[in-house]
Amino acid sequence: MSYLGIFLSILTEPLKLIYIIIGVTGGVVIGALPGLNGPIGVTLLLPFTYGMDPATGLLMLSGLYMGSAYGGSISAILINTPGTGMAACTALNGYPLTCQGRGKEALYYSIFSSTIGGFVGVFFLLLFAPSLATIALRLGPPEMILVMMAGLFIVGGLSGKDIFKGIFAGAFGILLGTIGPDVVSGATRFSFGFRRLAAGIPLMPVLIGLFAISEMFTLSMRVGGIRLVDIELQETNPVDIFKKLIKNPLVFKSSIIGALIGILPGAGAAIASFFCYGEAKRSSKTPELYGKGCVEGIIASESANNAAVGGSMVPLLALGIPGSTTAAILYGAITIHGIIPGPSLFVNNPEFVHYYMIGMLFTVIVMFLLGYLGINLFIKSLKIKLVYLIPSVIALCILGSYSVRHNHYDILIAIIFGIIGVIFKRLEIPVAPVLLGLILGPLTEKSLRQTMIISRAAQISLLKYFLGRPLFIGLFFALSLFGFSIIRVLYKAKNTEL
Amino acid sequence: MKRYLTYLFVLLILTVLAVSVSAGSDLDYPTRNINVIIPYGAGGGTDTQFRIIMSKIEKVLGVTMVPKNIVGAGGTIGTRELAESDPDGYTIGFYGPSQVISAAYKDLGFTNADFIPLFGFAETPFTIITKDEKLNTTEKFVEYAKENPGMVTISCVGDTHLINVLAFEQAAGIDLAVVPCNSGAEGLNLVMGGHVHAAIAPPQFAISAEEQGGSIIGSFSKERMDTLPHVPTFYESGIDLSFVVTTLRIFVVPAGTPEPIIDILVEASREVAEGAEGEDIKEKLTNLGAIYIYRSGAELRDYFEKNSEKITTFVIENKNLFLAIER
Repeated sequence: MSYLGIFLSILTEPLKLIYIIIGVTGGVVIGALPGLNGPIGVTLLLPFTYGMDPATGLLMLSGLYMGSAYGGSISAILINTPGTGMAACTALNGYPLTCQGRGKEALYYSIFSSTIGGFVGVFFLLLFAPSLATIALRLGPPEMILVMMAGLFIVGGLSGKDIFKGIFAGAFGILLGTIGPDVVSGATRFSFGFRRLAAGIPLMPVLIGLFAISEMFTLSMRVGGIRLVDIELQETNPVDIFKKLIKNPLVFKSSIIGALIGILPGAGAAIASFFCYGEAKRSSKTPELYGKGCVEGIIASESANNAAVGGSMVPLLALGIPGSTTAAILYGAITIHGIIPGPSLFVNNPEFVHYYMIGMLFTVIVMFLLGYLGINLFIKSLKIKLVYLIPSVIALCILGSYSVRHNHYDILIAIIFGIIGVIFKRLEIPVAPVLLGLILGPLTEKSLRQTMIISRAAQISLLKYFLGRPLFIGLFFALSLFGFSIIRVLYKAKNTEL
Repeated sequence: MKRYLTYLFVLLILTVLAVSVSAGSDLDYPTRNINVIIPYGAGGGTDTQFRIIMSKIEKVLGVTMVPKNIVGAGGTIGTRELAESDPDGYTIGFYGPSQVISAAYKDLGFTNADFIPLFGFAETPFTIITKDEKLNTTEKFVEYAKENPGMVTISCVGDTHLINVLAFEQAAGIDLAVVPCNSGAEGLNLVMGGHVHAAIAPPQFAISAEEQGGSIIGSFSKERMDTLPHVPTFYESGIDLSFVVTTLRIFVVPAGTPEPIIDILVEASREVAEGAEGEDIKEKLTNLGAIYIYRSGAELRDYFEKNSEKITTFVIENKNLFLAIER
């Protein structure tokens, strides 16, 4: 059956469409609520898919993943509490826009960018799945060190006026990442004898604390104002925004980079959005506007995280290697039906693969309709009085931090990081680099330690091992240029400010 | 008036007696939902398998079994919580070889004696996979490793993988370089990308590897697997392993749980295994790459005890070796 044929056949099956709609809607809601994220949603929905045919079940779950990649931006833009790690960069510019009364504009930019990103990711999946997956396989631990380190460069892009405060925050995140079992020996590090710390500091409670709880604490200390934003909302014309957006090459660039990062094993949508935000700021003519309500910041991070969704399905389908937490759960969802992802999938179950890939386009369409039509509803949350908003968000945060590991102690972590977040804000230290350090620090260390073991086994020095890998050398030069260029931009931005 | 009160009092006493007699002779269990502590993340291998089995057993018991994923520290945080739970049959959970290994050399607040095995529906052996043609049989692999001591890399995830590799090294008289990974998927990635020589992998990943031009060297099992009939066991290839550690996922209760409650739970599982639902479980677990084998009650206790003893002895004997490359 041709792709068009499959497309039309899905359109004429209301039940399947309904499953996709349920998945995407669930994803948008879960993404928007601080504390709940894609993996939790996928797990909750998983048992319901056992009875469905595999392609439909997988589509419902992928729809949830797709929806959650967009949903996080709603709360990030409106109340400065990104519902997911992948929306952390969206808050940096989205919330300032809301404060200027341009919340609607920000939301339109977000849904349009997410949709374009989503489509680009799915097209990558459709067109290049097997070939790209094979290339991604050739990136071993040494190359991953470079990719992760390039990610850490982005600390510069996430910092405000003072680069040193940004570096401090990034280093703080890396330090937090070293707590817990050592990657190689398993020995416990920096637990100070606390049994609970021996397991390490989990990401989700830190995210909830630093962004959502600290924002609520700060709001409750604010003097005056009974609502979040008291200035009048500006009306906007979505058609104009869309026209402006597709004329901006940034949205396509970020989508493509986002999809490629999604394909890399171990790098997910959050890393993709951090990366594209940093890259957008680096290549911008006006980097000093980033962080003050620059729509390009929203475009970059939102198109990247949705593009990464399609990208992360590439290694899963083509090689049977799940590239992210959510993809690992999806792996289980397919195999339970006796379908084993991998190269033979395209030979043994071509209908399944094609049906699934075309169905992914529907998840993007449904997400677009929900996001587009829902904007007038979302914007109403700004009208909620703070006395109601603050307690309900905090309740959700507590629920969310508990639900990840079913651990009371995680609630405590979220609250402690809420307080740390307030202190950081007072000292004007950016919090996003903390998250970046916490995500990338342990991954970088693991890749480095693996490389060291491999080179020791080969009985050559680390440097010789690096030099023996052409891919490493190529990447090294590409990423060095990237690094230098970030430093230059920062220098320029600093001078303009002075 | 006073007489009525006396009658009422007598009636009350009789009621209390009647209730207590019925509780003594006929155990009323379960009357409320049963919590199931799973020490690994939702959506993972253990979690998926447990949820499938729980969904069938709760139908027999008539109460809901509520999964509680208490994650962290290689599955030991949830296990400790299970050990500390009231042994009243309303908190049951998971225990497996990984916990046995951890308990053998770390003070985690629990030991094997803190748990009583109830039943298990599957046991899955591991395999070693490679992409390198000069290493694709046990013979070639061992010979090459003997010629190049410490130079052959093998990726491992966690203690259960590692203990198999250590036992293999000991039996074959070789020395390998262990590259630790966070997940089986990552191990597969490393071996198929040609970054390490070999990886220890569950059958499902082994099949994926074979499809992509890799080979399965052999399996850590007593007999060949039905799902991989062409793969020789290491015993067949002349590697005299002192034991093998598999993925054995079993339901347990905290020690001290009354025998009648254990019997009710074990009976419920037997009813499921012998009925039509058992076939459904078998199909689903097989699709997930597990090898279906139902064991319960005394048979499982005996099997698990013998296994744990061997593992514990090995870990204690090789403690230094173990702590050096613990993961």
